[in-house]
Amino acid sequence: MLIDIDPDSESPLYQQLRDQVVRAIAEGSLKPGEALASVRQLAGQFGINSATVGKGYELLRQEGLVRTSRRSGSVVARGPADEPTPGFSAGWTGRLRTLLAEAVAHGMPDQSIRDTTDSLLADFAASRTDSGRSAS
Amino acid sequence: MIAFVLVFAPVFTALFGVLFATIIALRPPGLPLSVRVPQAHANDAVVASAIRRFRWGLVLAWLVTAALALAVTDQTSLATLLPVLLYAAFSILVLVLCRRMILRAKREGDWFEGLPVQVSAQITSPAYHHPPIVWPALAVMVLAAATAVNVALYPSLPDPVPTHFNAAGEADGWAAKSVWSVFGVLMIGTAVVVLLAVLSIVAARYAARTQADDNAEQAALRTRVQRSMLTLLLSQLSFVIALGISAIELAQRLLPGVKWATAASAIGLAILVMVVIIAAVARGREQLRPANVRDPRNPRPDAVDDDEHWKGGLFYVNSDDPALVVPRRFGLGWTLNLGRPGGIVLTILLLLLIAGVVTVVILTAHLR
Repeated sequence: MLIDIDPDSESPLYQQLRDQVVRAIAEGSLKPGEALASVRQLAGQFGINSATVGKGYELLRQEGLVRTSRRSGSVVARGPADEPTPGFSAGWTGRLRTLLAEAVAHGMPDQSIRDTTDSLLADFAASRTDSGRSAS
Repeated sequence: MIAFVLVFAPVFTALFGVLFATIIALRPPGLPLSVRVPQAHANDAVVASAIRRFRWGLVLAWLVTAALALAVTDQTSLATLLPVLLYAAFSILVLVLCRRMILRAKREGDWFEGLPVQVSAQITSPAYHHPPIVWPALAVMVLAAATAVNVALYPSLPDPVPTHFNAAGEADGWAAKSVWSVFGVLMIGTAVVVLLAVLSIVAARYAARTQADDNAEQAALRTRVQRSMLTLLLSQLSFVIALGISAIELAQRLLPGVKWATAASAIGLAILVMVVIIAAVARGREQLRPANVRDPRNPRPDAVDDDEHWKGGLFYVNSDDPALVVPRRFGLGWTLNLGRPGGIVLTILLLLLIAGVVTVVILTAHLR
């Protein structure tokens, strides 16, 4: 599973790393139980500081998407089939409110916001079916 | 004797030249002459003409080296090695001069100004690629057979035994008959085979960096092909070296009167090594073909311009990069990061090791 980062982007590298892992889990290309490369390995591959990768992994751990044990390293902890963690919905709704407000403030019609959301969700589901098929 | 030198030096340098040219052909399209070039400029006239000049420079280097090799009549092992070293130095000089053309155009044209770039890496551990077991197994079998012949011949061998032969195949060094003087070469051969087997396992396991100058799948394919090419190459080399060492050894023991037998085995070994390398590179190039096809309808971000970290296009110096070992930018395999203390220490150890091996070879050849 390949992760791309853009070193010239406004968004910090650890955030890009975290976002890509979240997306890979949603798309089914990273499955629960799958082992991730160690912080050192990944930093060595990107050619960036280990602390940056560590920060990205730390975000994923706090969100409960990744768990780290001394024996098996970092492992994907959750997937689309799991129940969301109790506090998740409240925080996420807050962030979504900001995102929706952005769209509304810029004059995007409600229907087109809904269409975009539907088509993105459909893309995730389609990728999950694809990666499920190629894995079996 | 003269005939042997006439054949050996030009053939050896020619094979080395072909090898060098084939390895250059492996470069990803974004790295002509080890200069990072964005896709939009990969086919610029200056790039094409620099590559053309580089090729002609290599031909010239070979002509000069071959002529010099013919002029050298000294028969020591150091003198036969000299043309190859000279050729390597000459090629590097040609590379440095020709890549300057591209570097200048890139600087003046600001090729990377405002271009989208990206780096990609493997976040899951890639599937472990097992190095092929058949070649090391064959190597062990060949060495075992040669050892068995040596054991059988041991009682009938003369004391002292001849241990060194000049380029014409005449014995010019002898040692008291002992386990070391009779089996030493085979022991060294076994050590080399073991070392190559270990290296092929390391090459198979090491997670090489994947840099995106294409789409992710192509970058992954490039890493995979490089890895399998190197593991197969190392294990095939272990077999060829075992075969060559056994052939030289048996030629000395079984055909002591036939002067050309040892020399022929030595040339055969050199040629076989080159053939195996060239075959591996050609095969890798074929497998890499899909990784070098670009889809003009779907332009991808370019790789990051990392030229400042590649001194002369060959040596990697980057203190911000935690990786000690990075894939070579030019040619095959990996190189050490000289921007980190660990990389410098490893490089010094490696140079000492090479210097030690060369010294031992020269000393054993001359002080017998």
